Amino acid sequence: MSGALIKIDEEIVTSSVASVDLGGANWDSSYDVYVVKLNNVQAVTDETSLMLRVLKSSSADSTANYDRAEKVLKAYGAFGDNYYTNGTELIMESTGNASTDTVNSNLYLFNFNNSSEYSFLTYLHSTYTWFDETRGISGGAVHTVASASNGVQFFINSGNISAGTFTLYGLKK
Amino acid sequence: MAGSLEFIKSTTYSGVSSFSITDCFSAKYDVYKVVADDIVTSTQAFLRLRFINSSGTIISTNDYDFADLFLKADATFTQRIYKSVDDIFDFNLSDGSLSGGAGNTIAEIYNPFDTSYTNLSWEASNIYSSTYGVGLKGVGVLKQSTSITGMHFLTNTGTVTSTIKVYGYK
Repeated sequence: MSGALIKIDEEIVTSSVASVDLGGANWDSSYDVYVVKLNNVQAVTDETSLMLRVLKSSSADSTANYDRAEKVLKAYGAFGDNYYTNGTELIMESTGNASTDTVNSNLYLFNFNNSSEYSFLTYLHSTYTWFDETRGISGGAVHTVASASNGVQFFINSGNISAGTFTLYGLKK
Repeated sequence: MAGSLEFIKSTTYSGVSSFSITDCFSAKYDVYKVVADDIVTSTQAFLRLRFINSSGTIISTNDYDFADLFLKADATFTQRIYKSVDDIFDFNLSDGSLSGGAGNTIAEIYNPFDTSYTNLSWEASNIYSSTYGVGLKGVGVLKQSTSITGMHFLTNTGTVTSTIKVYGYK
């Protein structure tokens, strides 16, 4: 029996890059729901943040149309709420450059192929932070532009990505 | 087309207070999905998680941190925060005093086999206090730079009957 989670694209970063695109020319529009796995993502520069933008016709969309709301589950203090509307990107999680500073995540992408709907995401990060603490972020986000998207782009708010495995899967219909 | 989530192992235990799943993590995969559905306990009990290293030792030192949110159907949500403890206490909650009170947990385990910290996240749907639905969202870490090859589960009270399935992301 064939499986239901189909790998579409994967980028393995082992040296500094400015950004990672999943999809784009490799996008397969035959799925309704997509899964993105991030594993061991690290930054060149300490105390920075991993960001996400959706791809429109393979280009990252930086218009101010990103909304998100999330709960931060901290193993070091009271949990927090993060939210904003009309951002120019989605702030995913803090990153660092020590060997233990890693961002890991499971994201779902919804409605990316629907030209009359917004593009939606949910995510649960599991991170060991640059300040040596464990935390997770559980949230949802939307890009409020009713047009088709064909992937996502990850980048660091200041500096480059130094390491990590970025994988895009389609969930078979 | 072959799928990218590959079944590795399924292990069933019945009426025990602890059990292990050995040799489920290897160099073949970096990220794993653990499915623990229909976890039936003899009373209201947590199913706790410890990891097993490549020497076969159950790691019970105070090297686990975790944080989770109990999303209660009947009350204000509860934050649970633990640092430097000897297990992931809240992996699952089941209520065996109630017919239909089985718990269910889905977890993602990151990089257990390589010699870096092992991170995990989990989500669960459970019953507590014999009546109320509760969801769980949690994250944790084992702060040991050691190769992990298995998992050990134990209840905080009573016994458990469960089947745990492990998958690898290709």
